[in-house]
Amino acid sequence: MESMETLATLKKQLSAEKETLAGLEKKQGMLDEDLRNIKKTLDSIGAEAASAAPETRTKTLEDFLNQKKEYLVKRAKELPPKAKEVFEKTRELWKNLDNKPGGKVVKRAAALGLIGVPMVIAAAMGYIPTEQIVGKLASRAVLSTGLNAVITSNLSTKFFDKIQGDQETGGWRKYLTAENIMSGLGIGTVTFLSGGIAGAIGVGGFVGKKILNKFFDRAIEIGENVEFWKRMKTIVNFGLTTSVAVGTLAVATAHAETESHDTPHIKEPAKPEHSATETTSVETKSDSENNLGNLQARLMGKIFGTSPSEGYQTLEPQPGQTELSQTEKEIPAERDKMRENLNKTTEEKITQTQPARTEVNPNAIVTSEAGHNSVSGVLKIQFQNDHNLARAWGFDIERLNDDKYMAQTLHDKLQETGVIGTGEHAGQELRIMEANKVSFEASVDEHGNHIIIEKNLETGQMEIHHKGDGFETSDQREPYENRGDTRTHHYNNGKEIVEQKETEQPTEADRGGERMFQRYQEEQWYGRHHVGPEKGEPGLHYHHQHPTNETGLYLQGHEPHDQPDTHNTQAKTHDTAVEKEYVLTETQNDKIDELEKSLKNLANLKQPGGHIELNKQASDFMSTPMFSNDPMNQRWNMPQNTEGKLFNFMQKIQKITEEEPIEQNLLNPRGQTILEYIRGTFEKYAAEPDIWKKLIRLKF
Amino acid sequence: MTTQNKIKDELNKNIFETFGIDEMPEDKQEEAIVSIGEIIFQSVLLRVLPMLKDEELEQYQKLIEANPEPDAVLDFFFEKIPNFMQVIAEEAEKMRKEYEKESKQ
Repeated sequence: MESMETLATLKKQLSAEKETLAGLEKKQGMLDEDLRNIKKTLDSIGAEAASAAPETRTKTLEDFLNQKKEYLVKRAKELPPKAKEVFEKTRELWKNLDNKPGGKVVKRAAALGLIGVPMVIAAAMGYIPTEQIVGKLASRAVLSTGLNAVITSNLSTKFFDKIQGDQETGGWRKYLTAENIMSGLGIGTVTFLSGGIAGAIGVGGFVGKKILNKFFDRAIEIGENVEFWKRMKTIVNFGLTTSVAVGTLAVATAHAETESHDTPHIKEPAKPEHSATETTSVETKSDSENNLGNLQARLMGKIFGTSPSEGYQTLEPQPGQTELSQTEKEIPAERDKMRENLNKTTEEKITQTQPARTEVNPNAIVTSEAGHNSVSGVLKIQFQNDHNLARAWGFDIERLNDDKYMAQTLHDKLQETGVIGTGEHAGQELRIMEANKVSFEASVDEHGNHIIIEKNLETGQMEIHHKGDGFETSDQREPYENRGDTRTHHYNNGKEIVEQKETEQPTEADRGGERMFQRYQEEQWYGRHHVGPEKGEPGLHYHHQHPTNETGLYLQGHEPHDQPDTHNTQAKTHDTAVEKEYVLTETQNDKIDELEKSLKNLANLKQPGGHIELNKQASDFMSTPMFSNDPMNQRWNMPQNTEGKLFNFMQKIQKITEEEPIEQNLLNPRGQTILEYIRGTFEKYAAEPDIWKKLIRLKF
Repeated sequence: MTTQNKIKDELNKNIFETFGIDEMPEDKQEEAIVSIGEIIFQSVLLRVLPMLKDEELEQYQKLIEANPEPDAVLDFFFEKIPNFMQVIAEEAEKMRKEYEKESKQ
């Protein structure tokens, strides 16, 4: 009985607990629903917020543009009467474009052309990251805007034709110079620059070059608009290769950025009264695509098609430029003042920014060309192409194309540096004996003295002719007249031996700017250990060289590169420290060549059936400076890859020799490639038998 | 950020990214581009017109009254103003920087 009562009580309790549980579950359900509702609400708020963001941004932009318009109207009122009148008429013209057939497209293209000026210049110099360019090209949403429109449109018409038209005279440099780029970006001059730092910062373009080239190659393969892409590739490569120019641009930009914090660009615009914005309707895409490119081509053609003198004059001095930005009210005398300043301050700037005594400005190197067999002829071209330099040397830049003036002035000036003989050597001149083997560059040292840098492109040897140097005496000295281009010269204990040599006659394509450009590209890409293309792949043939200055350039005397093996010689320059140079034995040379061949073979993949295919990635890796090669670095630690194998091998060498790879840094604008490091280290330690033995036993 | 990266970063901020044009709807893009271009053009005009001599202003007035195409106007300035390209680039960059500053506030 008792147990029955207990059971009933338990049942009651159970029932009550069930009810409680049901109640709790119900509450839980409600809470869940609440939670869902709350989430839903939050989501909707979030979505609202997200969708509002672009509108907010658009509104901010609209406000900004309105403020600017107000400001411009106010500024226009301050113009002199006549200027004010034509300003208003021009505004009307712009506004009325909408009413002309196709006018909206023209207006948009004109707008794009104006907006695109800094971008296109930066892109041409490789300073808009190439991956971004490629990415944007793929993005339909932005195809109609800016750079993408410029790149994808038929802009080649004037822009590239103009540049190509000047190719044979090396005229590219007239347009793609640091000066033009800087001025294109509105940056102005950079008196604080040194070539080394500028070049170092500019080196970032090299990785981009690889990526961009792949992109261009693909575009060319596709076969559409091939000529355009080829030109684009060439011009962008030139830009990317001109590291000094890019670097100058980069430093200049940094400078401009710093300045911008202090420079009052513009007065605070009046608060907008939200006046109606001039509306602009939208053309259809097909219209714009058909017409945009053509106008932009014309615009960009104009932008880049400025005359050489204009190109030069765009290198406005900083003071003039600051003045322009800050005192726009005082514009009436602006142009004359600016022109005055231009001459004065450019001279000053040249003196301040000339490279150090032993530094070469690769942007200015003029490689000896077939047909330019007198040094004065080569230097004449350099002066004609580089007005800064011409001024620094005291040339009248208005008369650079006056043959008579140039002949006389060159004669006088080159006598100062011993390039043209005086006294008993009158009528004699240093000659370029073999095309594309020697470069002569006029420059100015840090004291403002005129110097001529003579560089053997095969060996990297340099000789600097200073003002006051005597004319080098030699029985074989060439008379000062055109004697053809079929001799080569060697130096033996400082004496020059000239001998007749059959040389291949250059083709037309070898001449002029293209050849200079190619040579310059090779020099930039493969660095200071350059070997001419006649001797196999550039950059992989070293003589043991000694860096002697902070720029990382190597100085050597006139040592014969074909000295007999095992012969130690004394390196000499006109004014640098004398160092011993070890010349590799024939066996050592063979070993190193063999090693290099094996390393390069790592990039060759044997395919089924015995077919060999180049592993492009590995090949690129080998020829890209290690420290510019960050995107690939993760592959270094993968021993199964060619990159990993090479890296391991390099580490082993490093362990034996304790030789650090040359890293790109501010003083050394170009890092070593892995092959350069390996070869360079082997050559360097060939003179130390213990280390050499360890090195040649290494396996990879 | 290294100096090099900082410089690159700065150069990456082209005018389209700064103004957020690439994120706008297409119709707004067009409108924004035309407005920005117009303002740059007017800013350039304010800079270059006072640089012209009286007779050059006369020439310009005649040109403008003939209702020319924009490229003829640009031709005129490229001919008369030695650093015309620089002025355009300066004004474009100046505008970009101003907006960048303003949009951060």
